[in-house]
Amino acid sequence: MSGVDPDTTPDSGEPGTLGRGCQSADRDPPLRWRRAPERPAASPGHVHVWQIDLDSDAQPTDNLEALLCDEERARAARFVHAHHRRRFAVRRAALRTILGRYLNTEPGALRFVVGPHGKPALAGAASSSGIRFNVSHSDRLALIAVAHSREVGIDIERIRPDVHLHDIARRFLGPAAAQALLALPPKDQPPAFMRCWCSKEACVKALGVGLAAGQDVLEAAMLPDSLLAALRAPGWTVESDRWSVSALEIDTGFVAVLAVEGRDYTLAAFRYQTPGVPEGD
Amino acid sequence: MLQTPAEWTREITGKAPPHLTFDTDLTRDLALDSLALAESGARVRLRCEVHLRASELSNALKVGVIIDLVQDKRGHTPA
Repeated sequence: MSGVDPDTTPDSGEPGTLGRGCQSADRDPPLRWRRAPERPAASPGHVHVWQIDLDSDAQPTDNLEALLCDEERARAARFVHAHHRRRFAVRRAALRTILGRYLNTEPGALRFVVGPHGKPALAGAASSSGIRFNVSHSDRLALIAVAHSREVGIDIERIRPDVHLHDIARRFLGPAAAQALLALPPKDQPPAFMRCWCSKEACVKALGVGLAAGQDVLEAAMLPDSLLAALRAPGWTVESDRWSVSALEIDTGFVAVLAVEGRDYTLAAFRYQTPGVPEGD
Repeated sequence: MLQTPAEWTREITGKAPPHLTFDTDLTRDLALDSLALAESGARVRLRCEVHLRASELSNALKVGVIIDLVQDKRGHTPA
């Protein structure tokens, strides 16, 4: 990435190092999550990440679901636990509201299509806007990445100490990353595993492929380098001519990774506020 | 037959699924994300001593499909 928005850069960090022909960018200053502009603009040189607290929206679920299409309402109704339905409605309503701001379109008017591995994209008239987006959620937080004319993938996970990380790492992260993970002190393994998992998820989501994608596909998106970087430190960026993969600073207890097609962009991060609700700070 | 999936689902989500059936969809009904699906594979391996490949887990989104996979690999009903 070229940098983070200069209005949001309180500190500077240390540069990182990587092997395998992959460049490690000078570590960018930490992101500051700031209030969103009323009418955000998408452009090829910028990538925006929005953070949504799924439990803070005070709107009744019925009001949120009024923004959704029939299929989304049906999906919401299927969840067996009420809080999953609620969080789904908040997330989808926020996605529509945010994309509607970029497109100057009513949230309920947006239509989506889904790729073969579940990656959503804008459909209809908005499909020619150049806007690409990706969504991830874990527990009470959701992230939405918005870009223009480039693919993005994002993943967030709440750090859980009880995950069977050894088994999952061996099967999903590959032998090198799994071995390196297991060599870490036990207390460092859960957050390192979560950073690796987020890296893989962000990469496969940017590519629009499934978790079982072939190693050649993943290597093209620098996944092995990203995994090794993720094992080493909470904050990192790896770049090639085709992809940039970066850790995002986020609330304690969560990890998040952003994968972006290309490397020349500026990143800005916003906290989503429910329309009509005054912002607390 | 549904007891084992009910147990590992409860362990992963922290809540007992109220009406688990063969048609219960792990993502659409129980809101399991991809990590939780991978975790399901780990729990199946521990409880049933059956290894499910990543590609199999990616397609096994319904409880009945996982049970079928386990049965196919073991040749009998999961314990």
